[in-house]
Amino acid sequence: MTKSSDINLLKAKTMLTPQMIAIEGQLRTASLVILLALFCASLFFGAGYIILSRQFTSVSEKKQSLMTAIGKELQKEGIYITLKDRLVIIGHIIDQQHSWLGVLDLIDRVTATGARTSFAVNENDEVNLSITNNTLEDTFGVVDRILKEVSAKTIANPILESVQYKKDGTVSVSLTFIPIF
Amino acid sequence: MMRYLRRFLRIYQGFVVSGAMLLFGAAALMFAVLPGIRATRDLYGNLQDVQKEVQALSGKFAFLQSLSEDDLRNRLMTMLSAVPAEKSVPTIFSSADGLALQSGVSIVDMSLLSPGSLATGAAMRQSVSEKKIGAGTLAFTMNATGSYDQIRSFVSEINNVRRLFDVTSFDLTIGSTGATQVRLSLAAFHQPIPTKVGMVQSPVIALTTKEEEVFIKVSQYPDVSQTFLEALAPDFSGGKRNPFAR
Repeated sequence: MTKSSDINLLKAKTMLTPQMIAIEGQLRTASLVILLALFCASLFFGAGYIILSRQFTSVSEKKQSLMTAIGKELQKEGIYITLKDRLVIIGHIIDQQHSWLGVLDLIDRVTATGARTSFAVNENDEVNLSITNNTLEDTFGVVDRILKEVSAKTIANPILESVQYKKDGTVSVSLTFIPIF
Repeated sequence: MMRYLRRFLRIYQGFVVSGAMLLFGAAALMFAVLPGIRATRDLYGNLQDVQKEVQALSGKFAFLQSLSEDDLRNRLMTMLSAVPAEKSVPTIFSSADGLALQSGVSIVDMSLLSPGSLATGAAMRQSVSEKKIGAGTLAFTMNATGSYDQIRSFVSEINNVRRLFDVTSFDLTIGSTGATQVRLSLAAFHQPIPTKVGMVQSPVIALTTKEEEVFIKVSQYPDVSQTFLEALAPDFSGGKRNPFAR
């Protein structure tokens, strides 16, 4: 026997299948969850944005005040930078300078008792030394001392340019070498 | 038509509502949430950058605060006596003269090789060696006489005075009487003072150990020039970042 409530043609015609009803329910739940998640995300990022924005404003103000304060120290900064710049330049100059006292000492050691005539140092730091010795033995002594200096690595590339044995017994020697600074 | 639509809506009411919610959610995600996330992320990035800048500026400010302007000025004056801002020909002569007096040698002659502009010569193209050093050079030659020991003292001390010189070459001749003559080729250095100090944000780097050593070394060199450099008078009244504008 059919109940009176079952005799609803409209309902019967509009009824969804149980699977569809289940899908509808799941879809409703999913859409609600998604909306809720979006709402939460909006709240989270919105709040974050506001907080970050305030921090940004505060940090920007601090930056501005620091820039103003540094601007007031401009003269000091300028002098400091100029000083630093000059120290770098002077450092390069000092690095380039050679200790000529060392070269003079070296020449003194090489010539020893020999009579120095002249010597020249050219732009390539090459020393051209002319010595006049009274005896040939003194000249050999000079050569020996040069070889010792080469062994001690204080002289590089020694070259005997000329040797002149004169009638009066004196010997003029011309040689070049590069001192190692 | 309307009847079918109404019937459809009545049957699929649940789907329609959920679908509308999903569509709304998608639109909100596309046009509000994602741009908002992007904006927040960008803001965070900018904040990080500004915080770094503030940190650097704080460090720079603290560093500048720790410096004494008078002390800096004195140090700079000392360094300017070694390498002046301009060619400063008088200090070349007076330094050489002072050194000769100290060593006891007599200067026979001195000549400047192509002195050019008497000011900085800033417009001149720098040579390779000048670029390497970072300063302009003024070449000059000098003939001096004295005993060998006097010349020796002169030559050895020439690198140890303010202003700074570099001996590029020399000829030394010892006469039979012991009188010694030396002909020196030298270079004096000069470099204009920078007129700009860069951006406010540019970092200021503390003096290195080598720079401190250079300062100590040069400040110990005697100033034999007996002349006084024109006092620096930085006068900055805003506008340009030029601490030496007159």
